[in-house]
Amino acid sequence: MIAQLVTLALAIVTVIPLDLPDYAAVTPDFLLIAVYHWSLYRPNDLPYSVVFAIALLEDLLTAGPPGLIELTLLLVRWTVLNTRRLFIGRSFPFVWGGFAVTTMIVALADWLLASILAGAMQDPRSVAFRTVLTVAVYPIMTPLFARLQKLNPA
Amino acid sequence: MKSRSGPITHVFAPLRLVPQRLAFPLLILASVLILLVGQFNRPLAVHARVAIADVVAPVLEVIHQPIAAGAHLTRSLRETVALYQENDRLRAENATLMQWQEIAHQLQSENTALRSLAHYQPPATTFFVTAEVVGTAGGAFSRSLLINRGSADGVAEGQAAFSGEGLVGRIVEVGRRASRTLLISDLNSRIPVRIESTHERAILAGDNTSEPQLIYVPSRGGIHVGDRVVTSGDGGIFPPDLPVGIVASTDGDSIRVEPFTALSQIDYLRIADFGLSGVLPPSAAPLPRPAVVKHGHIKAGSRPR
Repeated sequence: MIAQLVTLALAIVTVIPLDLPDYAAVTPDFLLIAVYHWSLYRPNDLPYSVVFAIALLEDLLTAGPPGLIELTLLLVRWTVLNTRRLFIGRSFPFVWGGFAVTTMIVALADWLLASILAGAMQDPRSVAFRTVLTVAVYPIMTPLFARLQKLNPA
Repeated sequence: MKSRSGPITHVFAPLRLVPQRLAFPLLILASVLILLVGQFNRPLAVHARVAIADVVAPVLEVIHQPIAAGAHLTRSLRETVALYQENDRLRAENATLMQWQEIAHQLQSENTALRSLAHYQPPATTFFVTAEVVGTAGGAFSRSLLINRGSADGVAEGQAAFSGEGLVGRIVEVGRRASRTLLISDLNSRIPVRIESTHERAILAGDNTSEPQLIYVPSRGGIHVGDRVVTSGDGGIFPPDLPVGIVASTDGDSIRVEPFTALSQIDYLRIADFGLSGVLPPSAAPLPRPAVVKHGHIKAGSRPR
């Protein structure tokens, strides 16, 4: 329940404007962090259906290419579930590295698909910045998730 | 790992796996469907977005309050530090502006005189509404803002959105209490503009960078860095002469325009209805009315000679 509430809250936090230059274009992908984290440690807390529903909400709020966020996050959850054995029990830098690779693949795929849908090459810089920020924010977010998780009854 | 919490999990775990197995392919299918439908049925996507925006906008508005207050506080602290230099700068600027004001007064009276001579009808602005920015696009591939005013406040599709400095974008999706503004930097934004001094016409095309490009420029020679860019009024979306930005660079193929407004740091917008339906709904564009000359003789609809 906590996992679902936190992820839902993050979907809304993503669209809140901050008074920072160009923040909107490089807002960290909070949902990716949440889905990766919970798929790894508590997959039952954040099932596919919930991932889809929250991704759909985010999709409608951000007005990007429809369906892209849903597809991405479902695939991320699936990939994490199928590679969990590699990561469980490993050190944090290893898990973080896994997240970095995932984020880069997602960014590349998103960029390619958005370029195809728009019919023109998209500016890769904001995607690159966004990827770096997302990876950088991961070690700050996950201890928060773990702490919030402790509030979860059973 | 002590993630298992009791015997109940053991009982339900296999049961849970069944819908999970089915859920993944079904939901992937749903996503692909959304992807396709979103591409080929834009109005449906717009409807869905507007419905969600209507529900979420009040929530965002509440969350945004403390953030706006915090931003305001840091800004005022920063400004306090720079107060003396700012004061000096403003005094100098004020002196310059006083001269401009003088010129403006002269021009205005001259303008009024000329207009009365020419029976000029100024473009009527029917209304203005101020809106707070409650959401951003939050992605790398679009530049839009969610605002907390909708059809209930008189906002309609195609209206122009401004900041104090200049044109920011136009309204593309309207809900009852919220709407979306497509920024001039968005990939899909095309604004007919002209260079103010030379009247050279062009299209200002967004490409998701902070400085949109001028395209379809008839001759490059007449455009220099620092030239002011204003709307041309072509196409009837916006009235002419709204300030847009200044030419920032002219290297190689691309001429880039820096908008007067810092598009990524907008708190409030003004939405204006200029009573122009423009090219947006092609069927709704008003036909040119035949001029009715004096009384009798020429009926409305027939061609005056």
